[in-house]
Amino acid sequence: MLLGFSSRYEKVYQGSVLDLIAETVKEALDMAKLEPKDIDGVITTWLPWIFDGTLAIGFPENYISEYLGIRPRFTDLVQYGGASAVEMFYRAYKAVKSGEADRVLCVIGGKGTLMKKQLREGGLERLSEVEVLNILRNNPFDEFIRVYQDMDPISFYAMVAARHSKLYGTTDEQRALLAVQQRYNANSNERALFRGPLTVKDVINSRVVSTPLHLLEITYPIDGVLAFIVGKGTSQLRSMDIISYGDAVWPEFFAERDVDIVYTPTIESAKKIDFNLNKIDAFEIYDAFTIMVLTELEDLGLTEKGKIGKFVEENDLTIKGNIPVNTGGGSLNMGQPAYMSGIIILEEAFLQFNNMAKGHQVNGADYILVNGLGGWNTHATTLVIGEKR
Amino acid sequence: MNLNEIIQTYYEYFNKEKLPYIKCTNCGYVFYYPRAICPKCLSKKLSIMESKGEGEIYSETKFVNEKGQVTIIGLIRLEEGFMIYANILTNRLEDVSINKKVKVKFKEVIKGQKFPFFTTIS
Ligand SMILES: [Zn+2]
Repeated sequence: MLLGFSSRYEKVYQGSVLDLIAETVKEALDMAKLEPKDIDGVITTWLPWIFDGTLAIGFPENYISEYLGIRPRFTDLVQYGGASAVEMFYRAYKAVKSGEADRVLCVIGGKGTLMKKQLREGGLERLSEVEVLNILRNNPFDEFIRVYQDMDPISFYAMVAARHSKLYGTTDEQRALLAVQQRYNANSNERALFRGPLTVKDVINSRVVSTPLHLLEITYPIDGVLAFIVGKGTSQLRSMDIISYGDAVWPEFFAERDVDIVYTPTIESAKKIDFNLNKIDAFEIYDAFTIMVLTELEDLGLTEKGKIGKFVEENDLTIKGNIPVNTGGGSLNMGQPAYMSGIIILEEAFLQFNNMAKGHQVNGADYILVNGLGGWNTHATTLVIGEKR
Repeated sequence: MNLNEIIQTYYEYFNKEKLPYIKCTNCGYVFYYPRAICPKCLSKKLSIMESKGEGEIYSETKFVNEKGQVTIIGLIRLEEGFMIYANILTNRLEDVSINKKVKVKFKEVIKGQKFPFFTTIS
């Protein structure tokens, strides 16, 4: 079902995003032994700034198809924020299963670094605050939210971490331990941006960006693109199936949620998963912040809500451990391409399943759970991938 | 009232240093972020109410802003049952933590328009 994939990640990419897209798509097509004319479905996602600093694009699916000479009979635009890559994989799978398309190209990523540059140096400064607010609205009440000073989206996850600590006594050290375990995995991954020894003390001693979150608990924005092709037929890749899946959308602004902010929509998406978690060989868990991974692991049901601190102390979450989590080091160590860590965790699942995770391969990675989580805990997609059964 | 009228009423309340919220007279649901329709029952029978402006910190985080000032953003649960995401303004950082009591304080942030902020209660 997965016919080919490729990615490019760079700290700062100097060329156009279209160059990055063209290169990765070409490599993914080569792996699948396909040409653009063989592609009849295209799925992408859109976030402001990610396509060469453009604030808005009308038809992102067409934008990509037009540049690459693809004539799709099926397109989809997945707006699951950081979880989009995982949801795109699921939608492509469903499109092929239902016959909407035979070979779907999924493209996700861009230049995350351009947003900061644009905000600080150019373009937008010519606009008034109100004008920017009206160009870029995330919800119907933006004028009652953006008037306040925050570090969006760090502020939200910092508040989740603060509340988790208040309610359950979760410590800074316990969150740091997760970062340390992921770094252990990154140290065996030659593609990781951040490598080298890391201790709990190092994490705690790193600058507090927004209480209680430290610098080493937060992903670093990078540029990058992942392209993958889902379709009928066989390829050099191992035959892959989505064995179980669930998704959930929480559209409410987090101040209006009926559920406590220590819960993520994974609590709902995971309910739809019909698979014994004890049989999972690797967990690829959305990790823009340490606290995201911890709350997702709780919501997946690996432990009760509030018990994750003790859980990370009592289990080994590294590639040599009993519950391998974020086996390539995760986005915390790979960087976050275009604000979407789902890119990193989904590709790591592809690598592990195909025994291609050079240096950080988990033995017998037959069943892999991927959990995507969109910004401000608004979207969750949970997938179990494995061989067709 | 349509949405723009409700938003206008909110702005007028703010400038009078009153904190508005909306109560659905059909189902009783209470909410802050302005809508012309109840998100629970879709009734248009809504009343704009005035909050006492007192509540507790549900969660908060402190960071240093671009000017080097310690800034606090938090979620405040008001006594009437709704929640607001806003800055907490205080010099007493030690008084800012989850469950601590706060009250509303208005501040002009856009020319001619005040907005609600919160401050600690001694
Ligand atoms: Zn109602």
